[in-house]
Amino acid sequence: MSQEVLVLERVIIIGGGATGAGIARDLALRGLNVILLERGDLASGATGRCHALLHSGGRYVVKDPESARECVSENEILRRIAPHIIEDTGGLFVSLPHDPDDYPDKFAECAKKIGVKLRELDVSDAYSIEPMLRKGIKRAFWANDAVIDPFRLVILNVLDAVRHGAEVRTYTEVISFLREGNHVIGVKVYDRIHGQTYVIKADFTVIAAGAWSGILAEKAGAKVPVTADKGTLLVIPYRIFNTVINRLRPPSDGDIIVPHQLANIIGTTSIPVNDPDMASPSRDEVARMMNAAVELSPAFASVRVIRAYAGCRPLAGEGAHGREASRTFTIIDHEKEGEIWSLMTIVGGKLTTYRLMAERLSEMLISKLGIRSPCATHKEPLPGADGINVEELIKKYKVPSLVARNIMRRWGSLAVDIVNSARVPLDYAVTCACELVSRAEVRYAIRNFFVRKPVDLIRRVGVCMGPCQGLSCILPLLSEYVKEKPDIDVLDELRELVKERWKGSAPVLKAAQLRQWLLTYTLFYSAFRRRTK
Amino acid sequence: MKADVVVIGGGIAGRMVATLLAKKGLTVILVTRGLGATALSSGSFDILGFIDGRLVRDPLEALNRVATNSPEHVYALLGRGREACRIMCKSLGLFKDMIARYLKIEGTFDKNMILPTVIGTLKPCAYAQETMKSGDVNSFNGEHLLIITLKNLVFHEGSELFERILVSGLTPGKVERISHVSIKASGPSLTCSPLTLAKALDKEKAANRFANEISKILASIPGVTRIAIPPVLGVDNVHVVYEILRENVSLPVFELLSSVPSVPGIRLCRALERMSRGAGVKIMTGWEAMKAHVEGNVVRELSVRHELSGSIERIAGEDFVIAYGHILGGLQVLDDSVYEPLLGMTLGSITIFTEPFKTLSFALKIGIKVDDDMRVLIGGEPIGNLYACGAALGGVDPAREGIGMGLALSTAYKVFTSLTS
Repeated sequence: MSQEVLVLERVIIIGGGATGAGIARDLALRGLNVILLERGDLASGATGRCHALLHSGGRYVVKDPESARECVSENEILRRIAPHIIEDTGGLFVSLPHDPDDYPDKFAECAKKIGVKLRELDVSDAYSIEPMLRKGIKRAFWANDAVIDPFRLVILNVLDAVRHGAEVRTYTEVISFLREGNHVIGVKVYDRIHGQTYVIKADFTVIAAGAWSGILAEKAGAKVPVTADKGTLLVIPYRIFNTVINRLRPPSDGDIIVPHQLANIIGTTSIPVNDPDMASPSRDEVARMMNAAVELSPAFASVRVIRAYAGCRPLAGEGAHGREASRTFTIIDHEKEGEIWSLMTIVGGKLTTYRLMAERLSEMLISKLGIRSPCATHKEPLPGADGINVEELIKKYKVPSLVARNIMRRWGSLAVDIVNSARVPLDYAVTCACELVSRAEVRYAIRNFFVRKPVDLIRRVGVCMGPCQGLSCILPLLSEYVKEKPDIDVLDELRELVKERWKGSAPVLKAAQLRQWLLTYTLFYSAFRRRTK
Repeated sequence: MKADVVVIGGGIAGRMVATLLAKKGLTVILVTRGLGATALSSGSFDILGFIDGRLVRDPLEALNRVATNSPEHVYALLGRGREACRIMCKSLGLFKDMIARYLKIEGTFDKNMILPTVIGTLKPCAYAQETMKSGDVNSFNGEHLLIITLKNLVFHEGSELFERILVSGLTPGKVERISHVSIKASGPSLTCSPLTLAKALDKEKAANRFANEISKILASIPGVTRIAIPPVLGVDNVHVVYEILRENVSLPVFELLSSVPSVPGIRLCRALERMSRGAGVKIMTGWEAMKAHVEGNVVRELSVRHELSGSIERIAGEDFVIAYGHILGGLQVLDDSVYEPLLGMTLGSITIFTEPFKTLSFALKIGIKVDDDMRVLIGGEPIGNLYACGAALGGVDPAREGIGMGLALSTAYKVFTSLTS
């Protein structure tokens, strides 16, 4: 069904990942009228499938000094504007017995040149920080790495943009671009939930769709050289390491381990793919990475992997090759290319540099529009960043301490709004016991965090992400959802939730996790059965 | 240690065969690690629920067909056609009588009840615990259903969800109206597990208070014809709790079939424990069977290890029965293959499919091969005194086919007949 609705905006931003959300916030803070379009859910592309590392820059000093430099400055800025979603884990760069002997010195030298702060440790100090490290490491350096929550990062950027007048529409796919001569004057979109097609007109359009940018630009008649580079990551439901661990060798498979929330994330591979929609983890990659993880700590030999996921880096340049390609970013003004007016595309970059990317693009964009307005994103903290004391939350609002701590951990001072929305003590009941998410938080997310489908809640509040992968929380989650938004097909949504969790489990299905899934299977299979009335 | 028969596994199959043998006067040792897949089950008794995705109305007739037409089906182990049916009826009948003192089971062989689960989906089964029977939607006709949810129960707050899935699966006219009410059951004030609540309700005083509360609510909602309750009506004292409820509420009341953790499953396990103990089975709980010591083609001894202390014992026996379930129980998954630990044999490797659940379905079908007398086969040759029954046989996907307890009971009975003939 097609229904023509016209929406007028100043700028359309396509892509609800960190980059798109960052641009939306940047422009909204400068007073522009923007609309952010995302064909799936916020952070459902590469942003939500990365290792969540806030780079010190150390990883790039040898091969990619430009990216390293960007990381150094952005690391500092993000710690200032988003302290509540950053865990300051610190990072260790370690050299294993069979790693190249000359690499550590080269690494230290490059880091010094670029300004990445490093401190070489006594090997024994490294073991006191990370006792689970394998024996016999040769050298160790301490760096300023940290972990940032990519899901919260996106939602907070969008939330702030919306507070400054922006609009966001998820599950809204751009199907074509409207042109007047060589000018892009808007887009035609398809609402994937309501099945409607309509038009959005704007002065300017920005493509920030990561690995999908090339496909989109083509629809506009422009060309964007971008290579989709698959990186697979594994989730271990324990924290064997509490700091970010890097190998001192040229980047390769499975040489980085990141503590994230209650888990360790093992990353990553680098494989060019043709179609970013088809990028999924293979069992072969899982085996390769687990072998590499065991090299870092023998403890990984006996853990279960609960999930594997793959994201696609949008490497700038055609035929850009995996590890060799720079991780820095490119902004393409299609007018300069002599192709299309009023259209820009941004590709490349990293989660750590999303804000810088947004700033650079916004600068270019407003000067084209003839506006002068300074950037504020490096100064203005993200929502929830103004510190409040967790004890205050517990005492003043009478929140059970465990619940308070977990809401704070995810949302900083937004926790006050969340607990204010709770009416009865039962609202603090735990919906997801793996990730300790309370009912109040789920409900608040449904109402305030641009949720259009139950499955979005996985990304918003972290439900279903723990060892049981949804077995215990899918039903309570769905029933909370139905109370808020009764207008859904519950069986469809239930199946989608199960399938979504299954997607990441299939490549790691063995031993304990296979048995875990048997429970989910026996519980939910009936929902998949064809109805025989 | 020594016994006539050593049974490995404390689920429904193991308890059934052990109880039958003990009643026959044999000395039986049953080795069990503790609660297994039977405890995770819904606690209902399915013989055959679906064939090729189609609902089975008459399980006995369907069993007859399967055992006649599909010689490779695990049910064909019971015998051809009518013989398979005879064994099924005999085993369920015996079981129902043996466990009656501890748990009441009701149903028929020739008509599946269709029982609602806590999700609102429907499960066909031949027999069920007495507390579930009134939920049979076959008997629904223009009902006004009252769905009771318990405020302090962690997993069952979703009655709207339940209603919508239930209604989508019912023929129009079965249910005219649905009302919801949420009450706080006895027990801890904040949310607690179904088992904690069920244990609290085991006490008569609590059960009375609960029943009173429900009858008070009924006075304010006129026209209710049936009442659905989450499965928490007691663990060890279910019969009394249910009686109290029925006396106070003169309407059909039923428990929904559970998800994990499943109180009816745990309730069944406790009843099984009492049934087998009552029959004189010597039960070793907390022990894991490690290795079967084979000489020639007979098993001489079984090594068992105490899971907490780590101490190891050997048990000698004339005969041994594997009844330790599938991969949620004693079978192991090593990388991509299913492994039988007692004899140290790989039973098959699991094919990984991308389609949801196909992999699991495939894995579930891998199992221990047995001959016509239920003796375990290695490389096609039977071990003279080692038998297997229940889910360990593989061959079925319980979730998809609705084959579970019926298979466990009938194959356990078949082992019993082989052992005593």
